[in-house]
Amino acid sequence: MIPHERSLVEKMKDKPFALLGVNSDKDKDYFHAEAADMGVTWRSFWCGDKGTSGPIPSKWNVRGWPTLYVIDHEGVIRHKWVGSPGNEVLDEAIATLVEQAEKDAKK
Amino acid sequence: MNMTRSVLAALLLSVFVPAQAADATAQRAGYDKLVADWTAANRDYRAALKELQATDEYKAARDARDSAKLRELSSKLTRPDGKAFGARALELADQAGKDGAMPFYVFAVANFGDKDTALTVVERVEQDYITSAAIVPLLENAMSLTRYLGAEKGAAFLDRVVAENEDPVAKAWAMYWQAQSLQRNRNATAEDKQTAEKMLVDAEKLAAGSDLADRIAAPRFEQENLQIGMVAPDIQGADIEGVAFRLADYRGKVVLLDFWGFW
Repeated sequence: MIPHERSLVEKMKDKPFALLGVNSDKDKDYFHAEAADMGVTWRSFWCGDKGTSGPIPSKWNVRGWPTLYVIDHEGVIRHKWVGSPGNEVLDEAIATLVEQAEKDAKK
Repeated sequence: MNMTRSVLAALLLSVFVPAQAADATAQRAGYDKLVADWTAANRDYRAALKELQATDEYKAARDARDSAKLRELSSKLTRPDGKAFGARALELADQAGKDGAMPFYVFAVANFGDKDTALTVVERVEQDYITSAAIVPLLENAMSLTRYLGAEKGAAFLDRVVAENEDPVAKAWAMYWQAQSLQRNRNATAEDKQTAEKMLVDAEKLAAGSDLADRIAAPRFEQENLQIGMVAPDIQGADIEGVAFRLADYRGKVVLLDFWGFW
C-alpha cells in the first residue's frame, strides 16, 4: 500500500489531490523511523495513544485497516473501501475525480 | 560556593516540597521509565523481525509457504517479556499506593498480554476501585481484561461496576462491554439482543459528550453521515507533530482519506 501511495502522491503533486492519513500508531518514535524509511511524506491525523480506538476511528466506525474513503473536490464521499480495492481501481477512481475537479476549476 | 548552594538547595527542597508531591514525581518517573522500556523492547523486537524477514532463508521459507520453517525461524527471536514487565508494573503500583496505582494497571492490561498480571490487576481493582471514577481508563481496556478472566468472571466484574459504581461514564463503559458480549454471543436469543440494544441506548445517554458516546453512536453515525454521495463530515484533529488541521482545509482537492498504521 505505502509504495503505491508514495508514487500516487508523486504523480499527483501538481494536481488537485491530497492523500491524508488517519494514523493509529501508538509509538511516535516508531512512526517517525518507519516514515523516514518508507518515504511517507503525507500528512496524517494522529489518533493518540489509544491507537485504533482513538477518537477519529471510533467516531467513523472504522473496524478494519486500511479503510479508505475517496472524497471529491466538493467534499462528497465518492468511494469507500475496507481493505485496498487494488491499485488500478484506486488510481482510476482518483484520476476520474481529479479530472472533474480540474474541469470545474476552469469554469 | 557550589557546595553551599547544593546544600542550600537540598535544605530548601526538604523544607518546601511536601512529601506527597515528591512521591508523585517519583511515581511519574517510574511510570515514564516503564513505558519507555516497554516501547524500546518492542522496537528492538520489530527491528529484529524486520532483519529476519529480509534474510534469504526466511524469504525462501515464505515463498515455499513452509510454515514450520517460518515458525522455527521466528522462534529464535525473543518477544518482550510481558510477564516480567507485568511484575514490574505491579511492584510500581504497590509503591504508588491506591491513589497512584491505576496508570500502572491500565498500561499493564493494555500492553503486556500477560494473563497472571491481568488477574492480579482485577483482584486489586475489585478491592480498591470498584466504586471509583478512576476505574474508567481500565474499563476502556475491558476487552482484554474479560479475555483473561474468561466469560463468567468477566461478566461478574462488569456486573459489579454497573451495580456499585456511581460514576456515569464508568457505569456506561461496563454496560457497553456487557452489550458487546451479548451481541457477539452466537447463542444469544432475540431477547438478549434487545437487552443489548437497550443497554447501549442507556450507556450512550450516561456517557453523553464522551468518546464512549461517540463509539456507541458510530454505527448510526456511519449510516447517517458516511455513505457514498453524502458530504463527508469534517474532521478536526492534529498531525503527529501536534499541529492542528481539518479535513475541510482540503476542500477543492480530491482527498484519499486512509485509516492506516505501520504497527
